[in-house]
Amino acid sequence: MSLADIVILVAVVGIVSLIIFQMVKKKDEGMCTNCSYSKSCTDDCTPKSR
Amino acid sequence: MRVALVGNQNSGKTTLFNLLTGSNQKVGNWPGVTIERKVGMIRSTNVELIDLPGIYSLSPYSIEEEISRKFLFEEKIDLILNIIDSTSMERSLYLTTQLLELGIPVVIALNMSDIADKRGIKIDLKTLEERLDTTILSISAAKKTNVFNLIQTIKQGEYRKNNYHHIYDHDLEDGIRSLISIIDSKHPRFLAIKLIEQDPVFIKYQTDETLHTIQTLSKEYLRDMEQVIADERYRYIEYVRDEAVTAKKDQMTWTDRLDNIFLNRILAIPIFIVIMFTVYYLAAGPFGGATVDFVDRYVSLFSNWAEDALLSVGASPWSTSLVVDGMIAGVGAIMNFLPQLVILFLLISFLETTGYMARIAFFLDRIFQKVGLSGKSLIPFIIGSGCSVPAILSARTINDETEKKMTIMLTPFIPCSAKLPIITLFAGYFFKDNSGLASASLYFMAIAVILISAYVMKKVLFKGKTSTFILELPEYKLPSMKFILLDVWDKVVSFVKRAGSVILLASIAIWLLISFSWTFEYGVNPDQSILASLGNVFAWLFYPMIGEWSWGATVSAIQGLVAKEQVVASMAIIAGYSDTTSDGLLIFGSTAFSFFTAPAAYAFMVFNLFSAPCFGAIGAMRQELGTTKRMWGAVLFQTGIAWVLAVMVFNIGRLIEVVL
Repeated sequence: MSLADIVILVAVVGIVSLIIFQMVKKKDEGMCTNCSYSKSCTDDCTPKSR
Repeated sequence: MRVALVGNQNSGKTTLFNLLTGSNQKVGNWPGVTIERKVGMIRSTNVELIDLPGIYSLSPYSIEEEISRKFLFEEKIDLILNIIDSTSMERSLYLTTQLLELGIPVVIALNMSDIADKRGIKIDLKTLEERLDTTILSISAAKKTNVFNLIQTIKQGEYRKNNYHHIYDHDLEDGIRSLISIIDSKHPRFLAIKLIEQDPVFIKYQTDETLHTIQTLSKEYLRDMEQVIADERYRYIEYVRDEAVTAKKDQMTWTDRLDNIFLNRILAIPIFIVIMFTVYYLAAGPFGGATVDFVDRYVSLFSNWAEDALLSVGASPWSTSLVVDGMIAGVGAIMNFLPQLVILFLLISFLETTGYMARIAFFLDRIFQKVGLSGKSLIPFIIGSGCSVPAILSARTINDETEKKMTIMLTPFIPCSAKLPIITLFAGYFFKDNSGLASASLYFMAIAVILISAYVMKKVLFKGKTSTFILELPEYKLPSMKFILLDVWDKVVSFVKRAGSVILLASIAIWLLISFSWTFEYGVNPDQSILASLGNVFAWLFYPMIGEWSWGATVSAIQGLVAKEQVVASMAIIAGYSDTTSDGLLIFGSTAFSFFTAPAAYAFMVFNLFSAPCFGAIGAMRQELGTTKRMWGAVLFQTGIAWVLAVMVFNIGRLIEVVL
């Protein structure tokens, strides 16, 4: 394995990790109708107070 | 300070919101664009602006009205910015009178004042302000007229605090007053009126004392009290209108003239077919096809340069292949179609903002009702031409549960932008000069399948009445190039992001699976790769629709679950590993996919068009359908329909080939 291979491998692993991190980090912004205009929503779909 | 932006549908709320906050929320010239929560800060102020969905009243007749009412009643709001369409003020005032009853200060922005002027509608602002005891500003959000003054008015707090004017007759006002004295609420007048109307949501506030007052009132009027209040409200609105508005009568507007053509009983559907055909012909036909070749040339140049550069710095064949045959080939195959998507996005956005899309909903409503859908289902279908995820979420505005479920299940049938690369790739190669026709035919096939499926579903699964749909037809407008370009830009950015994230990941995964065998040996013949063995497990499912045992086509189609564009990216990677046997497009010149004939190509397109959408859209279906079981039902239903149709298309096509 040459140095160029190692650099490519590190870059690809870095890119893949970054993409996965971004995908996991992104919160689920979906809200039930009940909570549509609230700041946040509880698990049982009731608006959390501000 | 928190300000709620409230107004009728299509009154220009979102345009004003964007202008005030400097954001770029979706604007459309059809009702119901505002679905998701939109909050922003008014520029250079610390005022939070909340854009509520378009509503006609604070009565719970639709989900939008329920959401807005709940928000205004329960949340702490300092000011309501009520946007009114100056050209239809009388209708807008129904909501305004209800907003005033909340006891929250209201500032009215009379929007589209320029259009009202052109039509000879004169509004006496001073009289209107006096009658409603509210600050009123005449603006044009589209032309940015007087918006600065509106911001200053809000920022400085220079608005009237609304001393409520009586709008009901004396008996009713007395009843309201006595209720106000016994109820405890932040919005006593609003609540008192809701209690008199016997609004079920507010029944919990009813006490023996309030009930007694209301029963006394009911005995006096001997009519439904909700009706009494509505009649009184309309009477007051007519009085205000007579005092403050003068309009020329019976003027034939441009909208009327255009509607005589676009909504003509005989011409409406042929015009719709011609318009949609033109859209797809321009985007996916020879014109759009030429742009693919153009970009492809540069992607190939970049790919060759990258290969030479990597080899020259001492990279091994495997690492070079990972970058060139995996990452660049996969992402590049998708990027080839970007110019075509830009054409499609531009045309769809143009149609949306002119007001034509609302006309489609209007004349399709009758057909939709016959099959158990309502015209409201058309809004998710239109949004679905961009992406199925927001389209499925937008179905939540449909009140009727049955229609909502049907719409959610059928929306992914609309060719979303991610499916366009598949359509263009196959149609461009196999149907050459008729590629536009082949692409457009899929769009009309999608509409036919939606109508037939809805009819069958209504007969078998969801029996019941179809709800009615009230649609306000907006004015035709010359679209703002700025909004169109911003809308297209948003979609392009989202497409490029997908190509650089999901598609890139999937392409790397496909490269790994095709480059290695189960014994982790690199550089094996693709037929001995992990990918081939996985594809062979499911290839029997695809054999009846393409007439060939192809693990390559199988794994590519299955990857449509990750993202529909990935079907093309995967085919490009697999083709790169096969021997190229002819010139022309790499994919169909390769041994892996050279078996494709025109019927097989069309059938493969049909399968990818109608089969289960990507994971993102499946997630949205799970959220909106409520249960995982229903989601699986929808996925199986969609894939089942896709398989049956593809097999039918392939066999009919083969039969035609034999006959010809």
